[in-house]
Amino acid sequence: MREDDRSLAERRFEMVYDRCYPRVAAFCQRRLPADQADDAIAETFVVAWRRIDDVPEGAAALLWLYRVAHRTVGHHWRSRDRRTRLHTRLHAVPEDVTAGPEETAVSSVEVERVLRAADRLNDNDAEVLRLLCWEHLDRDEIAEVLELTPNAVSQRIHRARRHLAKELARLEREDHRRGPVPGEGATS
Amino acid sequence: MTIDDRALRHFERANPVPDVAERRPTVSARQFLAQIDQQEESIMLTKNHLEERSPRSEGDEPRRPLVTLVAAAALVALVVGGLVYIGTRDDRDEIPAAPVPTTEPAIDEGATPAPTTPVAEEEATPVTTAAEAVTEESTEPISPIVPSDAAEPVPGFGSSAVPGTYWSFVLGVDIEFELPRTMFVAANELGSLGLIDGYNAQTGSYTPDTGVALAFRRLAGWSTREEAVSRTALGSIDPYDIDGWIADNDVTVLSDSTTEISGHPTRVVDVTVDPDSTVQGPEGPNGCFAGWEPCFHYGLTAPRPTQRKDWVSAQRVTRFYLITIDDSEPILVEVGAPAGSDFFDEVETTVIPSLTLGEDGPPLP
Repeated sequence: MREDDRSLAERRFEMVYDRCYPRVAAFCQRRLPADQADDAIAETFVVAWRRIDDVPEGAAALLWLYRVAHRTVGHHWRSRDRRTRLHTRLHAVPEDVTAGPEETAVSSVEVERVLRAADRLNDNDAEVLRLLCWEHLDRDEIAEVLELTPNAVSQRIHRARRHLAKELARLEREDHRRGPVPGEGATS
Repeated sequence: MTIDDRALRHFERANPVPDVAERRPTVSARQFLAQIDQQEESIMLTKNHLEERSPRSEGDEPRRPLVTLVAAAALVALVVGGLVYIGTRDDRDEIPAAPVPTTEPAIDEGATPAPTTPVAEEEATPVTTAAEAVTEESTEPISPIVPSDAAEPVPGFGSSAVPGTYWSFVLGVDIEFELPRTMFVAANELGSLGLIDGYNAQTGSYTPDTGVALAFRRLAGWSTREEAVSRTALGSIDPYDIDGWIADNDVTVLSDSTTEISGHPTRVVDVTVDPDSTVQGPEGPNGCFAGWEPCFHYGLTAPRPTQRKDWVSAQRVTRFYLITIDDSEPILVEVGAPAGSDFFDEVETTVIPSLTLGEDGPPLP
């Protein structure tokens, strides 16, 4: 009987793992450098295995894993300073393969700038934007991951958007004061 | 397209891992489980998962030594956890009845309150956080305050701190302060520094008529009425919106004024709980002490993952110094004592005037 339980737990875990791994991996890789992301992914699934009975069925499993991953990433973040994080994220910015060289240059500048702007946000604001724009979660799902009420999430999204726009505008002004940014002059 | 939309669109494009669908596990689920089996012992001992039992270990005869090891380790964790619990529940506030504190002035009608909504977002002056320091030109790290010669680091959890000058970095903003009496360190961790006096180790609670608490916290948010009764600390009300918290819970405001600490606008609010409040947190572990009702959770201390729990009670007066930190979570200095306790005076004349805050660091994660 116990053997049956174990097999059942293993099958359940395999299902959750196979279905959710890509998204959990991306979640961690978006927030941590490669080596730490690998650790965070493994730690998240170790928790899932140990608590397989607590992992909800269906689509809710992914949100449960995001919540675990959110905490795991938080542990990793506490051991690193913000500067390293920004550096990591800036170097992780993908090139837009569909864009031409000029557009890519402009895009890179803007993307780098928006990441710098995002890094000026407090972590709560930045995380809600990541969940919204990168994980493509809706308000209720974000509330589930962050363990907040949906209304609180709405407020946080609203605040984060304003903060991001404000910081972005400020950085644009600062960059223009310094002179043309390579790649930016082509369209401005 | 508004600037908000444009910023959001750029942010979406900045996704460092856009192609999720094509990603595949580097190892299969079965391989992963096999790896866990191999590494279980070290993982359990190093990753703090001692309390989480693997379903695989149930009735797994060949792994009995491991189960025994885990059981022994869990026992150690239980003992340590018990000590931590005993310590941390003392930075909650509780105790005797009766209203009104001794020293705090009555509500200052003319005073301009500190911001009570999310810190002035549009007008907020940018602070020099570590994040902001991260520009191409800047390589200078955040400079902490230099503790005075007399200052010592706050001793670790479970120690006694004798009267003297102490400093700490656990709030993300370095602080230095004078401690007027010997106190037991009930919490000394990221986001929270708690000191208590009058703690009864045998009963695991405050001595009701003398117990006092002084805590410095980085506040992540105040609890709604619904969250206030949760055993898990939650705080979705903005950390500067103490009025929102008061309005949503059965909190009685005894006084409310503003001052300045280290150049930071600070709101000082004395509260207790309405004795008729129906908002009642759970008793027992992570809850209120029996007999101290009504009592409920007031908010969440950063950093969130530690889920710290703090409480206000009708049997006690709690004074909050809500110190504004530009564009970041406030620093909350919390003084808890029986109504009329001299401890409020003591803190007001020693700790608060001596409190120095360093440059704001990055928000705690």
